[in-house]
Amino acid sequence: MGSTAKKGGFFLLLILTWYALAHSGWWPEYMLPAPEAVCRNLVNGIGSGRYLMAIAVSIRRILLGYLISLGVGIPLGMLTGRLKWLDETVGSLLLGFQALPSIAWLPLSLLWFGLSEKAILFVVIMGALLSITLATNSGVKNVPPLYIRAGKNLGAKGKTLFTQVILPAAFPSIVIGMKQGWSFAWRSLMAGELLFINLGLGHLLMIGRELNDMAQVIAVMFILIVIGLLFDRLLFSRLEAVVRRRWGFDQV
Amino acid sequence: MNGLQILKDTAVVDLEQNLRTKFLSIPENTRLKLEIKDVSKTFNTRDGRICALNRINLTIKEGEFTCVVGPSGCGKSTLLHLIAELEAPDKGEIILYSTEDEGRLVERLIVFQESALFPWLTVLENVAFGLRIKGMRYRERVERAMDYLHLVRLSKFAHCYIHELSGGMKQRVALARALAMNPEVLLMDEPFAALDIQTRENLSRELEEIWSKTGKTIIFVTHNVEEAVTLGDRVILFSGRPGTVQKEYRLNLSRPRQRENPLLKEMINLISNDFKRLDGASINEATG
Repeated sequence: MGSTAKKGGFFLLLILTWYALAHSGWWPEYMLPAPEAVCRNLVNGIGSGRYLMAIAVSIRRILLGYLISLGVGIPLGMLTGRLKWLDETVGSLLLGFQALPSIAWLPLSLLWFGLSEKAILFVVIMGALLSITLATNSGVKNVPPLYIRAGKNLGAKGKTLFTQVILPAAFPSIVIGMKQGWSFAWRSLMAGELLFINLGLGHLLMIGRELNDMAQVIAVMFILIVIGLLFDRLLFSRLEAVVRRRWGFDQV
Repeated sequence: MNGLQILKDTAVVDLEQNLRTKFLSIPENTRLKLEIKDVSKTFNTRDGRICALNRINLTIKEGEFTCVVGPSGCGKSTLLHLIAELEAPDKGEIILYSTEDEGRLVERLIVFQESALFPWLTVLENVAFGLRIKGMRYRERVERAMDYLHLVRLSKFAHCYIHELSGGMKQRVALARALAMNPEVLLMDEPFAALDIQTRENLSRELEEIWSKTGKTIIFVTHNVEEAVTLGDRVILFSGRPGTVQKEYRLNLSRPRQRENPLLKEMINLISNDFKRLDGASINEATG
């Protein structure tokens, strides 16, 4: 039996069990809605454009925050990785901040930016930026000295040495940081939207709770899973495949 | 014991003969390539200052295959790093007499013990790396890199990534990458130390062949006396901590070298004995 068939069978079984449990009458419907109710909700929500708008708002927020985090985090990681004095000062500060869950920035962010898009963007950035920076930093710092010696010996120096040897050598580590940064940003965004911001998928979850509409809650959770998987397949799996093919990590 | 004595004398006679023939031959062949004058190097470590090299004097002629043998930690690798200008000597100077050559992209190149190939590049891109850094055009550098991959018989693997190669193949790619830059001197830092005996012997035979084809000046560092005697025109014996030149042997043996040659075997014994005596002395010194 192929792995797709196994997977398909497993999920079919799961849905059937869910169906049976929902119709058994053990739990009231507002606690465990039936699969077809969730499906109906999903179709209606998407058909009316309500969910699509929430998806668009959330994706816009995360993309903006994530791109800013990449744009700042990768150069910052490179600088702290190469300059010792910067690593000892700024680097240690970042390391300390990483211990802080990014949603803990929310109160401060609200005071600084008010109830605005900026406030949630700040929380998303604080979620992604640190892991991207620190992964880039350790990637650059852990480049084997042998590669640097070989690069210098072959005539690379200064900027060329950096772009042609140090950066590509740090690439696997940067990919790990990018992936981790993405998932931190996604979590921070959901936490932020649940707590205060209108529009967005997190807000829909909250509305579902307030209206005791469990079908909506589960439908939105499905959307969140699909978005997460989609980004993983489209971006991170491909980057990881490049690393595996070149470095041969899957052979270890 | 007696036999060894006689062979020692033969070696001396060979040495004299060799010197004579060298002096009588065409001047180009005896042109000085590298002069190492009174070079010392000290490192600061956690355990204090360690003198890695103490007053090294060596001259190396063009096209010569010089092997440096010594116990580990005797500063042989440091010497190569100094020649390659990866580090600067504390005292003394290293003079390289360059010759004009349009294809020369770099003067001094090291082949490291672990190949130091870049995993993010294919075999071909690795060989072309230095050419690209020096601004050679795409077509030209691919052609040149392919030529050198042919030389080390790996052209079939041009588009593989490094992790797909065996240890011996990696070292051949590293050799091709170095030769493609057409350096004045090729420095080899125990390049075959991490390989099994069979691969090592094959590679050393190939290296001898490539050397006779290209006429490169090679300085080859190893702790394996047999390897040094099989490859070198000269063998220089180092002692450890601080590294100093202890003895020098000139090997006037026919090429390509035959491993079964009794004279070669005796030379290995002779140098090995000197090496062991030296190693023993340094151990005694350390414990006493």
